[in-house]
Amino acid sequence: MELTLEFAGGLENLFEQKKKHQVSLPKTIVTLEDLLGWLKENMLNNKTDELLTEEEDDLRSGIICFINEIDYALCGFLEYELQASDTISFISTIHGG
Amino acid sequence: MNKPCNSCKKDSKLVLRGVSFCNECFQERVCKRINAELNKRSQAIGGDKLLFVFTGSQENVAILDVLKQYKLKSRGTRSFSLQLLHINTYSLLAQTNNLNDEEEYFENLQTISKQFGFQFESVGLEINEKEKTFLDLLKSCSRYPSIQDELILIATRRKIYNYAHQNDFDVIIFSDTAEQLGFRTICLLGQGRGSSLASHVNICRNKKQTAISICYPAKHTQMGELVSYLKTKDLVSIKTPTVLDLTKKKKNYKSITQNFYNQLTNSKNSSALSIIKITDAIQWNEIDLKLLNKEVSKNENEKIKKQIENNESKETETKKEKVEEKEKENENENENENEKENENEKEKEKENEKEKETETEKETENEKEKEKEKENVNQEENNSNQNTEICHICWDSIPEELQEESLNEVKQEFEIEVTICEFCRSRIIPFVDFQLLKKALL
Repeated sequence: MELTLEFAGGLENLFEQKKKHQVSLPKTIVTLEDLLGWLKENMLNNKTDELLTEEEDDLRSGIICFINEIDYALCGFLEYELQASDTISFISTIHGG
Repeated sequence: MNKPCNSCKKDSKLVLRGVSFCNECFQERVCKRINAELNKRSQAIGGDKLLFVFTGSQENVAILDVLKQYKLKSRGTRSFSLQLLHINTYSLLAQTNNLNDEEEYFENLQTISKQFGFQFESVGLEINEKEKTFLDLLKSCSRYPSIQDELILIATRRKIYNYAHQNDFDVIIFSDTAEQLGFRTICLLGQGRGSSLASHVNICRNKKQTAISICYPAKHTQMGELVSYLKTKDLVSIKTPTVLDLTKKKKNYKSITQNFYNQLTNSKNSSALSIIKITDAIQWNEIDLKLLNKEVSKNENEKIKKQIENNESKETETKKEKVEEKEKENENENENENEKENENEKEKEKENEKEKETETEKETENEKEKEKEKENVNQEENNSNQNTEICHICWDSIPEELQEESLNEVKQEFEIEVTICEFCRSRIIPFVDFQLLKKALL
C-alpha cells in the first residue's frame, strides 16, 4: 500500500529535513496506530519523543494529525483504517516563533 | 460517518474541543476571536500606526493573514497603517554556523512577507555586528538556559520598544498564543518578575518610561487552532529557532523553571510571596498609574491650571455684575436729589477708587498665589522625574525606597553609577560576564 506522509512545524527535522515522503507499507500495516509503530522502527531511528508519547503508542500532545486534509479525530483517531493513496499529515504545535 | 459542521451542517474537516467544523466555519471562528481582540483597541487602532513583530512562524503567519483581512475591511476612520519588524536572533539561537542556512532563512521570510504584500525591516540584537557581544554574553551563561531566555526576552523587547518609539508607532502587535503567554507567565513567575507581567501584556515602556499600547490578538486562541487555520489555507511558514534550541538536552519551559516549582513550598524564600505580589499588581488601573506616573501628574497639573483659569473668569463676571448694579443705583439717586447726588457721586467715586485699589491688591495677591501654584506644579514635575528610576537592564521601574540601595550596591561592586533592579542583580549578574553585559545592555 502506498501512502504520502507529510511532516510540518519542525517535525521534518526528524525525517531528513523532508516535508513529504512517499512510502510503501507492508500488508501488516492496517490502522493509523500500526503506521506509528512502523514509523518508529523504520524512519524515526528511536527518536520517538518528539512525535510519540512516552509509551510510544499514541501521538504526543501538541501534534496535529490530518488524514486527507481531515482531522483524524473525525476519522476514528488511531483506529482509522488506512487506504491506498491516503495523505497523512503530522504538524507540530510545540514550537512557536 | 463524519459529524456535520456545527455551524453550517456541511461536511466537517476539523474538530476543536469536541465541536466539528468545516474549513470555512473554522477559519471564520479563528478570525472572529482575533478580530474581537483587535476591536478592543479599535479606538487606538483607527488612524494609527501599527507595528507587527514578524517571525515567520506558524502562529505568526496565521495572525498576519487575519490582520491583513482585518485591515482590508477597516476603512475610513478605522483604517490604519501596518508595518512589519523582524528581530534577527537566528545567528544567536540556531545551532548552525552555516551562512547558507541563514540566507535561506531570510529568503523564506521574504517570500512569506511578499505573499501578504508586505516588506519587513530586520533588526539585530548586536550593538556592533562585528564584535558579537551579545552572542558572547549568551555563551557566558550557557549553563543556565533560563538566564539565556531572560536576556533574550529583555534585549528583544528593548529593541522593539525603542524602534516603535523612534518611529512613532501607536500599537505593537505580538503573535503570542495562549500557550506562549502562559509559558511566559510561568517564566516571569520563576524569575520573580511576575509583578511586571501586566507590562508585558498591556503596555510597554521605553527607557524614558513613556507608554505604547501592546496587543496580543491571539491571547485567547490556542496554537493548535492557528496551525490548523494555516493548514486549511495552505499558507507557508518556517521554523524559527528559540532559546530552547540552545539547550543540549532539548529542554522545555517546564524544565527551565523547575527550580521555581521546587522552591515554591520552601518557606525560606520568596517564591510564594512573589505570586501574591502579582495578584496585587495585576489590576490595570494600578499598573497604569504606577507606570505612567509622569503623565498622570502632568494631567493633574493641567487640570489645576484650568481650574485656576475658570476661577479667574468667574471672578471677572461677578465683578462686572456688581459694577452694573451700582451704576443703576446711582442713576436712581441722581433723579431725586441733585446736590445729594453730587455729594454722593463724589463719595461713591472715592469708594470706587478704594474698591479698585483693593481689587488691584487682590489681583496682585491672586497673581502671586498663581505663580506659587505654578512653581509647586513645576517642582512636582521635577520631583516625579527624579523619583521614577528604572533598571538599566530590564527597564522595569524601581520602587523609590529601593533606589538608593540599588545605586549603592552597583557602585560598590562594579564602580558604575546606574540603577539595576534586585531581580537583575540576583538572577542575571552573578551568572554572566559583567563586562559583556555592560557592553551589550548598559
